[in-house]
Amino acid sequence: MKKGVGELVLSDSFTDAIKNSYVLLDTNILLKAALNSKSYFLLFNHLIDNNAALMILDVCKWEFFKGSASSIELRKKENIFSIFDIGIISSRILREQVEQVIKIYRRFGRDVSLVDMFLAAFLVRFSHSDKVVLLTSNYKDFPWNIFNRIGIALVNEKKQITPIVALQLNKTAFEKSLDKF
Amino acid sequence: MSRLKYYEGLPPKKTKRKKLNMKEAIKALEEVGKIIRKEMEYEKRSRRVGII
Repeated sequence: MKKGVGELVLSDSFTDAIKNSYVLLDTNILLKAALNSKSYFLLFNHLIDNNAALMILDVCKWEFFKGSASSIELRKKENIFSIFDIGIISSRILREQVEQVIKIYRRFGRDVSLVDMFLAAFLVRFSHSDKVVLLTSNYKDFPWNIFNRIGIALVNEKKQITPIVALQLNKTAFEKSLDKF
Repeated sequence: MSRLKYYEGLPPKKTKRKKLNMKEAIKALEEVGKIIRKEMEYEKRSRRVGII
């Protein structure tokens, strides 16, 4: 592990994973960033400095927006997408892949949220590119035998230290599992 | 809503990205943080009195 600036510790593999890559953000990254702004600013700054294209699925955007009590609150949440230049990806393109994820998750799928299934489906859809990664703090929602943890950053929040994990699909394991279903 | 950028696949790659304005970014995050805290407080209260 290399020491980072202030509240952020980065592994070299994390920087390699996100450099010049398409980085899909899980909703939990945005929620945590809002609650620990200074620490997560460093993370976002690191992503942008390394020319990562930030993206979020529309289902995650809705997860982030829900609970807003007024149009002012909603606009403040929208503002985050403009400031950090986060593109929104339509989940319409993932229908086939979500059905594949349901199959490979088997019983494990019962406890997985639909949003997490869409995130997994996104990694399946773009598994042909090694420049597409998912960033999440809930790495346990993505089974280790199907998804490779290719980089870890540690964010020092006030009450805890949170690992932010960069994930990619293990294509071989995925196809093997799908064949056996 | 019009300022948000929607894509049906991967967005076009930029060669040079605009640097973040630290003050503006932290302020925007903090404002949303206040909202999220209110939402969490509501969630806790509504569970206690059984609204949801």
